[in-house]
Amino acid sequence: MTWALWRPRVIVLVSVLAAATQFGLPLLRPAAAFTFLLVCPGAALLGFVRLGSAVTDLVVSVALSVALTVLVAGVTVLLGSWPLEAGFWFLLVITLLCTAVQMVGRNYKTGGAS
Amino acid sequence: MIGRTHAATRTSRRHARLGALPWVVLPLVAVLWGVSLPGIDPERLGELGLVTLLPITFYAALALLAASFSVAICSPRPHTWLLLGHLVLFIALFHATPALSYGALRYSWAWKHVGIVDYILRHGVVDRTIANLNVYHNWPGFFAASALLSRTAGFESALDFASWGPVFFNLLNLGALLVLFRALVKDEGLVWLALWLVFITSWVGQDYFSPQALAYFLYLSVLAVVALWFADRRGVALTQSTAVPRRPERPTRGVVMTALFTLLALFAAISSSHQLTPVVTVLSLGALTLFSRNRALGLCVLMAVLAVSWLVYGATPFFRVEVGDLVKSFGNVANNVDGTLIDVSNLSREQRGVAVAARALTLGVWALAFLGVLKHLHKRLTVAKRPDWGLICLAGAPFLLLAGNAYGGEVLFRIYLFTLPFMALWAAYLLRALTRGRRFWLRVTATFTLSTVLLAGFTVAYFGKEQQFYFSPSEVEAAQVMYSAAPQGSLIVEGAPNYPSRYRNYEFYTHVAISREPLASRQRVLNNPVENMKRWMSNDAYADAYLILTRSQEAASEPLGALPPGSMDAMRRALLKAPEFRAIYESDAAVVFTLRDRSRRGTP
Repeated sequence: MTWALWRPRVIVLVSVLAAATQFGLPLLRPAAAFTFLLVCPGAALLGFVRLGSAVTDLVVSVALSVALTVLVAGVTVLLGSWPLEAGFWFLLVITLLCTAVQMVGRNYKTGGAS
Repeated sequence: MIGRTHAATRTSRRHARLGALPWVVLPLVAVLWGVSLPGIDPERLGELGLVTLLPITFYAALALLAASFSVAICSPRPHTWLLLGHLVLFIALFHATPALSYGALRYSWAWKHVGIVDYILRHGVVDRTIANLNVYHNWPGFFAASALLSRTAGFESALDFASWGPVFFNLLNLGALLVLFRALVKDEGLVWLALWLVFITSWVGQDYFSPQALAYFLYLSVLAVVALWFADRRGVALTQSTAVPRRPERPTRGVVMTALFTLLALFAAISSSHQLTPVVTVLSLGALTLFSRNRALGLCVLMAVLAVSWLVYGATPFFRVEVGDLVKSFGNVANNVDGTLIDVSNLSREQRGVAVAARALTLGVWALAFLGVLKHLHKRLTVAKRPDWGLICLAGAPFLLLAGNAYGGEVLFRIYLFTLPFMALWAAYLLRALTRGRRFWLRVTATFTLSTVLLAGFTVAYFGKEQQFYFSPSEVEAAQVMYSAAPQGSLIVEGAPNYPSRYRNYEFYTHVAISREPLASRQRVLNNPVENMKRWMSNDAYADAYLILTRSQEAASEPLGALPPGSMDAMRRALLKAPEFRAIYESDAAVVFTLRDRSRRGTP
């Protein structure tokens, strides 16, 4: 199985773990939260295209994730209409939606074979 | 002929065996570093900071690492993972050592940044019109993201992770620089040598928990994305290639759209986090566009519009107040330079040495890069080929900042930081060009010698001021006691602003630093501390008043000439004897005073 097929599964796993640790598992919470916010949103959005090497993919994913975290958190604190943690749930939904679309699309193309 | 072939084979085998040496040396370096850590007692920091405190095993690890890198980079087929290992270990040596040894967040500015995150965690919003530290509220991106990280990770404060900022940001920068350099040049050896030179000369210390550290990583990422997907194929690459090598020949429409989205997101994050970085980003992209390394002229214009829009609309309250000063300092290059360079004659002998080392390192890197550019121009022009003007201009573009603003006396440091990747690339080019075709040991010796000289300067420039940057547990405790005792609306008088300050409920207090008072006022306080402090602290405009004096305040103000040597100690002794004052916290490193009887009112 190639990294392209593993990638959405890893993103879903980290996302679900980050969500679960908001309600329990306090020991895992910092690691899950940091990994999710610093890698997953960007990796999910960039999953739609093939960027090149794994290093490029990882670096651009982290940069985009950091930027999205800054922007979503920035809008939250400038408007003040939602609690801070709403930003996390918003990013989580976006990440899972993008990943789901990619998984469904790939499944559709390959006829379900992986 | 056959004999010569055998000799060449033997030499090649010997070099291959030597090339394997770093695999053995790297674990040894890690062990030596691990052995060094327990021997570092920050309570014994002297006027040369960590330079005189680090054990011999640390320096042995450093020398071995430099030697090992020199062998690895000069071997016939340098191994990527091995070179990466050297750089990661270097980052650990220099940036994880303080985090592991100090036990408290270093740099007083980092504590203030924690205070802004604390504000957001308590209020959920920023206040762009706030009187104190309003610049951070007008560029809140980094603080908002840190608050979101703290909340999501279940931390009560950013203090739980801020100490690791330098390690975190340097690792991020390593990734971004690797992608950027690989997009700009073809020679993998040049890429890794340039990376090494960047990290062993990056003495400015803008990698701590701060908006500029985040914005710098995003700036490098923007350049990397542009160089990867928007570089013009007509542009020349540094090492003979006529095309930018690691990029797919024709990016698909999907990749271009994704790259555009990524660039705009990165730039919006930069614009909302930091004041200076958007300007440098636009200048650098302008340089790339001007010299055909960038097809996206429209992108450059769009970014400039975004940057100005944030300044005018996003940071309106700050812009309204500061616009006059911005206009006044524009074009005043001499004043902007003078604002950065401190008068070394006011410094202690040790701190003068640190300042000289930093300046020598800066000028040395720039000189090497300049020679690299000359070598490149000579090589290209003698064969009637077009020089790589894009890369030359990338190294020079940040100098245009000199025309803008002194940036709180830091503009030269920031210029050094922004030029460093490209200066390092040109310096590495020079070294490679001068040693190309030479014997293996000559190349290793040249690389090791240059690394050793630069590392000596870097160690002094980077670790030489740690006496100011380190805060002992008792200094942290003193600040905690003071902020716990002080009611809202209190006056906090401080010897100097260099201590763990403003990290909690900062908007409730008014902070006044004696070292930043006008000279006449400062002199009055030092001549008669008891009477003057009594007058200040009994001012009924404040709910209560506290005076905090710490070792780190002394370290930051006396060797740098802001206060006369011994003055803070004299003040401390005088106040301890005065019956009007009560010490609510006292240790060797810190003392917090309050007035016994505040009913005896004074005037401000």
